[in-house]
Amino acid sequence: MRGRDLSSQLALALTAAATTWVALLSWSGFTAQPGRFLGPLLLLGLVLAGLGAVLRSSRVPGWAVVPLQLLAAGASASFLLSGSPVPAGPAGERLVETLSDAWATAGEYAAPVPASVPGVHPLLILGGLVLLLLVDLLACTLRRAPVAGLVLLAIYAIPVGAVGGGVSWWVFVATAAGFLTLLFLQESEQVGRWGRPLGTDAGEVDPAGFGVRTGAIRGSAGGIGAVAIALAVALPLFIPTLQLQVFDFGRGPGGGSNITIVNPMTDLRRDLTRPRDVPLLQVRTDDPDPTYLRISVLNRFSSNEWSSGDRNVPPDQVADGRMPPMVGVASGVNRTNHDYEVRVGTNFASSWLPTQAPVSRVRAPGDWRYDSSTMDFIAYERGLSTAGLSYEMTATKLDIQAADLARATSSSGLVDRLFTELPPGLPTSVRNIANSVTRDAPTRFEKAVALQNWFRRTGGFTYDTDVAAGNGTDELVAFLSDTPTGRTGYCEQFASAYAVLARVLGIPARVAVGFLEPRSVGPRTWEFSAHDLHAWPELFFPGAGWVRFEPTPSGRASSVPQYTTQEVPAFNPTAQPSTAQPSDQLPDRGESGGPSLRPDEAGQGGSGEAGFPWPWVLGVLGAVVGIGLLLLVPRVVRRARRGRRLDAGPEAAWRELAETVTDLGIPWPAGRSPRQTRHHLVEFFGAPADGRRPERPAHGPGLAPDAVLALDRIVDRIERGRYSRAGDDGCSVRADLEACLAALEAGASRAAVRRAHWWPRSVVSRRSRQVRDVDAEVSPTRDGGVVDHVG
Amino acid sequence: MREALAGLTVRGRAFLAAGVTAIVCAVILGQPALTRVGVLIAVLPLLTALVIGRSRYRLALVRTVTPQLVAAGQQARVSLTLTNEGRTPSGVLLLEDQVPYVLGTRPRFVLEGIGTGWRRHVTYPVRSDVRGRFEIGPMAVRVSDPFGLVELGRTFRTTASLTVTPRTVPLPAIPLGGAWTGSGDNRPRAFATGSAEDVTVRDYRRGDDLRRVHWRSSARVGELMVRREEQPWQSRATLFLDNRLRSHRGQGLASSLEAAVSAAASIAVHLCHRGFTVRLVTAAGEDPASAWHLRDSDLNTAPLLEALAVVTTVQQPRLATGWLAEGAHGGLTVAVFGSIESMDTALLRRMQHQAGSALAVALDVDAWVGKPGAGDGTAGLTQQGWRAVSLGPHDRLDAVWQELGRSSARTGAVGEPPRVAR
Repeated sequence: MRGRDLSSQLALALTAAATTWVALLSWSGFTAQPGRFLGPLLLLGLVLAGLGAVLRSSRVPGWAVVPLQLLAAGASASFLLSGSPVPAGPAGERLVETLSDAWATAGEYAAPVPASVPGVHPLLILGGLVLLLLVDLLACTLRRAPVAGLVLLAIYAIPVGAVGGGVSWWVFVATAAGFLTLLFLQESEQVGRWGRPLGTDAGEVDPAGFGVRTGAIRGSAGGIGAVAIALAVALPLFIPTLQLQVFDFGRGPGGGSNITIVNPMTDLRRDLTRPRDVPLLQVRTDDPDPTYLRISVLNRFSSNEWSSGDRNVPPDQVADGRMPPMVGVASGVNRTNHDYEVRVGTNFASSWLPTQAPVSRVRAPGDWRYDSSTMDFIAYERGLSTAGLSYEMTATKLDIQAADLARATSSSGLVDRLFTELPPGLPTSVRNIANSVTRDAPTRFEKAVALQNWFRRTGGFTYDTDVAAGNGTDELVAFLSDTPTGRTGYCEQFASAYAVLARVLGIPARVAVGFLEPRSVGPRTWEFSAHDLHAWPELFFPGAGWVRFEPTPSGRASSVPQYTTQEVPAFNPTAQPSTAQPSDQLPDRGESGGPSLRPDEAGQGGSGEAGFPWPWVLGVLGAVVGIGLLLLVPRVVRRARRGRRLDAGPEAAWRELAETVTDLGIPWPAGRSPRQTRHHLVEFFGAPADGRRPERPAHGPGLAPDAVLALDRIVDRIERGRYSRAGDDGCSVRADLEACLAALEAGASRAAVRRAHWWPRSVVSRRSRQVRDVDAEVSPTRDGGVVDHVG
Repeated sequence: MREALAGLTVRGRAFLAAGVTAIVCAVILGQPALTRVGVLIAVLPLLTALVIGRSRYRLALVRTVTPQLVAAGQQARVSLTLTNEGRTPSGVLLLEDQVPYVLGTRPRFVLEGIGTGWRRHVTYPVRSDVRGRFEIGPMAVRVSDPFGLVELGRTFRTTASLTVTPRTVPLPAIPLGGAWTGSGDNRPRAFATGSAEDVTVRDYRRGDDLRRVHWRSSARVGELMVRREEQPWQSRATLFLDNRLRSHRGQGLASSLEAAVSAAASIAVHLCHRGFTVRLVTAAGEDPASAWHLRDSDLNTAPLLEALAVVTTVQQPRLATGWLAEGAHGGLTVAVFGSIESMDTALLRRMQHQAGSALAVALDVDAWVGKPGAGDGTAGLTQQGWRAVSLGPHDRLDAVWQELGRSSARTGAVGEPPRVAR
């Protein structure tokens, strides 16, 4: 009794702890080193579960179990964090220090917290410990497994709200399975306690009683649970598509913070063509070359235009100091910092804050917010603009080498799919141009350089501001076409065309709008004016981040980035394993932030090669396969029924016989005794056929004497079971039944057998199913008692 | 399916509601991770209801109770035979036989995964210290699912009744005076020649003397009937039990009524064993099931005990007198009284007057609620001509009965023994 109690308690507690731990796996996204909190938590969970199970099974009351568990958990956590089980003295100071460090880190860094700073794992361990305790308390001590589900939901929902990314489906599946197991364990324990006779006269009651626990319920629990989890994983795939059409809330989480921004391109053109140059802002910096001051980024390309798309600006992304780490920049890239002081004139009113890119620190008065994927700053308050604003920032210059760029791996999965999205109606001529221009370049980077050279030198483009504004698909085709009016434009056309071609090549690209080159007005002081406004493309290369290119001809932009003119060494992966650490080339995932790392978006970057109607083909294929599977269902159901009945005793065998007869299209005589039925059936027995069966075989009792004997035996068993006082022992009649079934099939026509196999009447036709009344009925029996029915 | 949906437990309904809410919230807020949770929670009760609702089991139950009449404190056995005539149920079946709690714990069984043709026989004992008639059953069946989300209640219909008779104690033989002779047994008496109305007839049997054929009856019936030459005499006794609420004190098992019923039962058994034909009269009047005319004089005490098993207090202030109106005078009257009030005196006198021999056991009812010494009705009864003894809560009935015998010996002269003919 005691041992069983302990084992059941242990099973429950361990399931609860394991479920909680699996749910805590969803917190992995908080830090770059999830093992640092998951490992200790696993240990703590085991300690808690074991202790709780032992205490409960030795009848320690619940109010005592919880403090003891709390004590043990606290001591273990303290030991893991500070090296001493008692958090007092120096160990206590160490603990406090660790926790305050973690707190500071948590306040400073966005998830995932990189490995280089003091980790947040102490906080995660403490939080996880509290949740483990809560789940154990609810599910095991208080026996309220469904309520423990709320705690699990909280664990699961925290990363969804905090990191913005979803939780991978297998974590969900494992958590759900654990939760259902908890429910099942608790319920079966309750059932077990219900069935146990109370009081001291338990010995007088027949110990077996009626009680039957075959464990079959475990199978049905597993079935229900598996189907429910499968539905839970599959159904949401269909729900959100509906949602995106009905509610146009955009793609970012948190519907309230999204802002759709007016297109800054129109301002650019108006300022460029202004007859008089107007000074707009002054910067004071130690940077010897303060070019390319960026105002905003256009990242969405629809058929009509490049637009700035949506920004996700939660309230904590404010320009008040340190910025999150740069996206996709390898830690090995050399960087230099330059401080900037910016004074904007009153005549330059922009809802975008001009900053350098990349930037590591921005401090500006007012509610300027940034999107972590574009790193441009937008006025969140209504009416806030740059007019008359003074602010400071620290720009970071990266020392990017062409060789590194050439070695860059595919960027798929590292940035949002938005950056490679092209409108579906993009003309093939554009794709052809992109492919033909870059045909000789082996790597993505060299393709990009080839494109730049083509726009600047070899393509025959002319810089002219006197063309119609616009950067949609039609303007793009006109700009790229080799006609007298084509290949003429200004920076807007060059930058947008370049970005589109880069996207065609599968490189994430966007268009930046800003100031090109300032005029020196004093020592370390520079002035940007209206005619300096410019647009340029930025391409993403893993390891280097967003990299600037300059397709506008030298008449306007005199210089190109130095890495586009460097000689690219022949890239031979086997020749240089020692000089280049492969890990350096890969972007440090820990330093890239935000939703751009969602694994479910991996591998979907290559939408540019859509030409073959894959969705249609897949849909049709899926439909065909689905219909095929559906057609298989009756057969499978029928076989499962037969499999169940083969060994289940003579009554089940009789029912199986009846269904087989129905399937074969032979009338089953209703309301006759087994023996009369037998006389009817033997007429349809056929000789077992060897080799090819005739289409309509002969049948009769003389053809299958063995089967007739087998049927006689079954009938005998049925009669014993129904009419004799002793009853039947319920043994299997499998061999006899199989002989009868084989004889029946041998006596039926081929078409009937085919139909019986693939479209069995007993399964597909409702009429053959027995109608049962739910109401109880009472009928007298032979031994004086009364038979009462329920079911 | 509909039945199963209606059978969703609080947990199941909560899951469904929470799941639907989660899905709606997830769709509005665009959180696919939440949708998963919502779908899981919402689908689980629906799936369970589907599976449980499709369950096609069919249980047959046969129930017997032996013996159907037991004395308080003795065991009876209930035997159940359960057969599954349908398919294997997909849920857990929780069976509970609804036994009144006085009879002991309710037997509970868990059935799970029973196949077609499954049959099991089980017996369990029931036992009661309280007299009464109890219905055993019906068996309640709860169908539950593995997660506790759906619960369907079904009930068998049959019940078996068990009568628990009051406790009796064997009483010593004392001179009663109600019997016709000293032997106390029924003896055939020569038929007093009288008018034709007195004649009782029976069917003609081979060997009967033709002179004994009663022609008038034969003409009426159409078959030969013969006169009965002899007439069995009965020793008749009336057992009176005062079960008015006002006459008794205390509640439940510890009440004075229970002591009175137990004393009456002991006396009834004793009288039956001594050959009396006993009828039971309560404050409400004669019990029709135990009237003299309906019963032969045998040793079957069962109807009397059954009647006593279900005696409860009645609210009426006065004793019924209808049974006294009958012409039959004489015979033995044994009465068990509670408290006796002045307004009963007239009736007591009438009872004594009609009885050949009037014995009474008067309960000292106030002693049952802890107020001894208030006196019982013995003095008043004796004054009315009864032979009476007092019974307190701690007295042994056989001792009191013995004392009644002695008091009869003391008072001695009781009038002529009754001769009552049927």
